[in-house]
Formats: sequence, C-alpha cells, structure tokens
Amino acid sequence: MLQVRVPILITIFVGVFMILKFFFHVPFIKGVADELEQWCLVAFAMAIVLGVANILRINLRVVMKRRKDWPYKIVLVFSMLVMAGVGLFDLITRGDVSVGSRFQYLFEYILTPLSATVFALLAFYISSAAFRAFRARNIRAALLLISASLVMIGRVPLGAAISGTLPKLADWIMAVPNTAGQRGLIIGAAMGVIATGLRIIFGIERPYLKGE
Amino acid sequence: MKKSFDRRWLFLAVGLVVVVFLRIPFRLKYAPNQKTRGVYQAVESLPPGSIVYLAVDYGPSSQAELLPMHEALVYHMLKRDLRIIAGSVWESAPPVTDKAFEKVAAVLRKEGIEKKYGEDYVNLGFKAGLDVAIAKIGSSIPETYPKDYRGAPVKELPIFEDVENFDQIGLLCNLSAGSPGARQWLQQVQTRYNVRMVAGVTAVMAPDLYSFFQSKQLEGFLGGLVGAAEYEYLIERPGLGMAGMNVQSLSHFLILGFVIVGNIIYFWGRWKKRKEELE
Amino acid sequence: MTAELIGVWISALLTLAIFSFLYKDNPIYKFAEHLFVGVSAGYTFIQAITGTLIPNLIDPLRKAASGTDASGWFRLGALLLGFMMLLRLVEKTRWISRWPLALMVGTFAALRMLGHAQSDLVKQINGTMIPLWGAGLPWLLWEGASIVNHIILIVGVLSVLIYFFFSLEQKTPLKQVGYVGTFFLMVTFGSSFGYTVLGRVSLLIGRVQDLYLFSEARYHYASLICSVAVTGFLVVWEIFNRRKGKRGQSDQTG
Repeated sequence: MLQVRVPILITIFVGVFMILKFFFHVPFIKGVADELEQWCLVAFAMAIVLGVANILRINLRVVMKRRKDWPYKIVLVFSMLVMAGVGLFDLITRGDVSVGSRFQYLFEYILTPLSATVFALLAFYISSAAFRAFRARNIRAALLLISASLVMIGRVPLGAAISGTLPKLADWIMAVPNTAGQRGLIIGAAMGVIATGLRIIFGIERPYLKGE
Repeated sequence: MKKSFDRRWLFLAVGLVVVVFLRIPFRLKYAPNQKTRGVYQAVESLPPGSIVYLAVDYGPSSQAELLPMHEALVYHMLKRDLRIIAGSVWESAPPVTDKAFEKVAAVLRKEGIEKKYGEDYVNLGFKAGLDVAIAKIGSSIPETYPKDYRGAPVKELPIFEDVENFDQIGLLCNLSAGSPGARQWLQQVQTRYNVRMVAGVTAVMAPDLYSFFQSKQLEGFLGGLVGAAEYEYLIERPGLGMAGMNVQSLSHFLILGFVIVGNIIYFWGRWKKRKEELE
Repeated sequence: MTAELIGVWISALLTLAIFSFLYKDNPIYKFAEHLFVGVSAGYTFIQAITGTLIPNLIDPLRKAASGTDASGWFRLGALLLGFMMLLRLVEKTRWISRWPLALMVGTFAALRMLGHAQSDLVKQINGTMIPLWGAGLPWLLWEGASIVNHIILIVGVLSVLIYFFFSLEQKTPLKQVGYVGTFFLMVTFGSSFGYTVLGRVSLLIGRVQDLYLFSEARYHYASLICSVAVTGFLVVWEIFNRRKGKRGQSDQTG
C-alpha cells in the first residue's frame, strides 16, 4: 500500500491539481497548486543534494577498494569537498556566493575553463565526422549534404561576400522546408508528450516505481 | 592491412585555421536576417523604464556562443533605459549573469551613463526545478525568488516595486543552451500569459525556433555566434561576436572541404570496386 | 592582481590539459576531467542550497517559527519530502523516496502536458493554417509570406506527420506522401547539421580567444609557457610508454 498505492495517488492528486489550476482561476485551487509547486522545487533541490551525495559515496568506494583509476577519484572527491566547503564558508562569512566571493573565483578560474574546453573539443570531432561519415550515398543523403552546405556557407559573412543570394537562400531553407520538417516533428512530439502525461497522471505509467 | 587515415591531421588543420586566422582580421559584410532584426526591433519598441525579464539559461560550456549576445543585449537594453530582472534555471548561469552586468555597467559608466544594481538591474540567481520553476516564475516572480543572488529580499529592491508577474513585464528575453530553455519558456510562460518574447540560443537550438518565429510566438531570435555578430552590427558596437566571424567563415569552408574530399574518396573507391568486379 | 594572475595560469593550464585529449587519453587530461566532475558537483550542491533550499524552505520556516508569516508552516511538508528523498541512499528505506518522486513526476507530467498542448500543438497548428492563394500574397519571397512558401510549408508539415503515422499500415498513397516527408526531414537534418557545425566551431573560437588573452605580457605569457609544459609532458609520457612497450615485448621474446 505505502510502497505502491500511495505514490500513485500522490501523482494523480498533484497532476489533477496542476490541471485544475490551469482551468479554474479560484483562490483555493491556486493556493494549493502554488504550494505543491514550492514543494516540488524543494524536492528537486534535495534530489540534487542526493545526486551529489551519491557521487561521493560511489567514488569513495572506488578509492577504498583501490579499483581502476582510484587516484583520480581522490582528485574528484577532494575537489568536490573543497568547492562545497568554500561555498559554505562564503555563505557563513559573507552571506552569499555572488560577486567577489571565493566561490565565484573558483567558478571563474577552474569550472569555467574546464567546462568551456570540454565542449570546445566537439569542433574537432565534428570535422572528423564530416570527413569520415558524411557520404552522399543516395538522393536523400545528397539532399541532406546540399542543405547543410548551403546553410554553412550562407549563414557566415564570407558567404554574403561571395554572393548576396547565398544568405537569402540559406535563410529560405531554414524558414520554409526546415520549418516544415521541424513543425511536423514538434507536433508529433507534442502528441506523444500529451499521451504520456495522461498515462502518468492516471497511474498507468509509473516511472517513479522503477530503478531501485 | 589497409591503414586508416589518422584523424589527428584533421584536428591539426582545424586548430591551425582557428589559431592563425583569429589574428588576421578582414572586413566582412553583415546582412542581419529577419529574426535578428526582430530582436532588435522588439527592444527598440519598448518605452524607457519598461522591465525586461532576462532568463539566463546557459553555463560556461556555451559561454563562447551566448556571452557575446548576452552582453550586446544587456548593453542595448540598459542604454535605452530599460530595466532588467535576470533569473536562471541553470545552476551555472548566475555568476555569468553577474559578470555580464558588471562588464556592461563599467562600459556604460565610461560613456557617462550610471546604472545601479537593484534599481536598473538585478540578478535573482538560480532556482532548481526545470519546467516547474519556469511555470512558478510565470505565476509569481517574488514568490519563486523571495531573495536575489546576493541574499537581499526582492520586495525591498526598487526595481521590484509593483512587479508581481509577467503582466508588469514588457518583454521576456531568454538566453539558452538547451533544456530547460527557450522551448520551455514558450510552453510555460509565453503562450500561457501571452508575453512578448525574444530568444538568444546556441546554433544547435536555432533550427527548432524557426517554427515558433513563423507562428509569431517569438518576435525574433539570435542563433549562435553569427546571431551575436549580427546584433552587434545592428547596435553598432563590435564585440566578441564580430571578432570571431572571419575564423568562423573560414572554418566552415575548411569543414566543407573535408566533406567534399571525403565524398571524392568514397566515390572513387566505389568506382574502383565496380571496375574490379567487372574485370 | 596576484589572485587574478594565479587564476589565469590555472585556467590556461586546465584548458590545455583538456585539449591534450586530442592527441591521446593521458594522465593530465584524466586529472583535469576528474577535477571538472568534482568541482561541478560541489558547485551544483551549493547552488541548490543557496538558490532553492534557503529561500524557499529554510527562510519560510524561520519566518513561521518567529511568527512573521504563519503560511510558512506549510513548508514542513516540503521539508518532510526532502528528507524522504535523502532516504534513497539507504537500501532498506529506499522505497520511501518514491513519494517525493511521485510528486515531482506528477507535477512535471501535468505542466509539460499543458505546455506542449498550448505551445507545441495548438499554436503550431494555428501557424500552419495559412492562406494558399489570394489575400494579396506574392508568388515567391525570400523572407515572409508568399504562395510558394506557404504551399511548401503545408505540404511539408502534412507529409512529415503522415510519415510518422504508425497506427495504420502505410500503403499507397499514404506511403508516397510519407516518402515526400522524408525529403523534408533530410533538409531539416541537413540544416541542423549546418548549424551544429556553426555552434561547435564557435565554442573553439571562444577558447582560443581566451588563450590569446592569457598569452599577453600582463599575464606573464601564461598560455605559451603552459602549452610548452603540456607538450613537454606529453612527449616524455609518450617516450616512457614506448620504452615500457618495447621492454614488455623483449621480456616476452627473450
């Protein structure tokens, strides 16, 4: 009962209230729905805390049992604890972690370059993928390549310098055939989301009962 | 055994083009498209004193694409005496927002324009909850953000006088790198409360937004570094966007070259195989 | 200035450490990668606390306890759910976390359903209900409403939707219409690839711009010295690995 029925009832209750808030502009319903949203925000934040605690637990286990790459896991755990520790220290001493804090300093000079560079690597891999995998094997693949090429040349200023028609053509491709294809995908996906949402709210699909 | 081509040579070619040509600027022609002009006109159409909600939903991983347009938009808005309330549903966005505000405020100070935190702009910080947080912001901004990023109660800030929800907001401007982002703001706030909205997104997200521009849910949007460069061109303030365009252009031609060479090798190999089979 | 200088040197070194992966997976890259994960986790933890837990949970409860705002007592429910979420860490009590998860799933499902219905379904269909003739429409324009553009748009949307219609077995003429839809999808994917290239290259440009900034004299040529250091490390590491490999081979044969 507590393990299965109660969660399903919670989902049904909350889901119905959110829908009622949309259709009935009544203070009581709005009040209850607003408070449930606040609970959801808090639960979400606690899920983040849970995730971080789990990372700590898993990596400490790797270090204790001397599994593969365990010295690097020490770096991971240590850096996590330092970052969290500095943040908490700033919170206690200055009351926030904004401009001028040590936390912000670590964000700017450690997290920012690491995060930005990891994603900058993708530029190299997309070039490699373009060389190795992009083949005009048939008419449709050729159409894909041609539209990609026109967009790539037309959207940059050098394309405009070569010919005034290229940017217009690139924009037309994006605004008409691309929009048509995208809209078909968007509408199809929306119908899927609505169907799945109803299944979840009515308790037919129960994703929160899995993964234990 | 057939030796496969070492892709590190391709990496080297790309790296060299970017490193070398970033230092060799050349004059380029800009032709801002309808979407970029839409963003510009939306900001221009707001009377001074109007409030813009700037939803900053990106982090350092997309800073290269979005920070140039972020700074250009904030500069344009503050110069037109618009007031900006910035909030984020991405945890890595608040420090980036602070940095952009500080930089633009310093630039405006040099131009003799003084802008004050709390009066002309505010950073509300991060709110966990993805779509739920966005829906909650749409419903009531002070209820979702009782305090700003610096810990001050928002109701005590001059900018929040009479601001409760999007009825008091002149324009919603979303800068996003993924989900939650522009699509979620369209779903939870723009459509629900019929708010004027523009967006600045990474190039990967831009193709999606053409549909929403055509359906008039968006008045305009900026796509990637090119969008940022076009906007800088419109506000006549060259920045990081325009600085990268020569390299951007050449890199595209280089990658296109890779595609063409790859296909030539493929078709030559196919022709050779057919010839051998016939023999 | 000293703090900024140290920060710039750290940034330059970490940037080049990540770029070293382009040569091969190596210890300096692995160090930077694990540092990234650790710092991200710590950062996210603090943002969850400062951004949500303090203003939306602790402060309302504090106000309720001090008698300023009694409605804050409702947040006790949120506190309870938050605590139940943490019980997921313990094997025996893991099932309790289903309750806050059910709350989150229910809220998300409802909000997403409503959002998609309004924005992605109704408004998008509305945007497709466009005139195909008359109404002062020109034949063809590069930008904006025109007869050819509207025809292509409607044909495209319908053919793509029909392509994804799997409830019925697709026979002629549905199959032909769906086939046309695949051409529109190819243009869509091609455009997406074009923009993806644009985006990825921009990210690289951003990093190189920063490395150029860090190579200035005021930062004591940080990028240049760090790139020499990282390259030197990779050379030494590669030589060491090859010697180790040769020694291993001669041990096997000898």
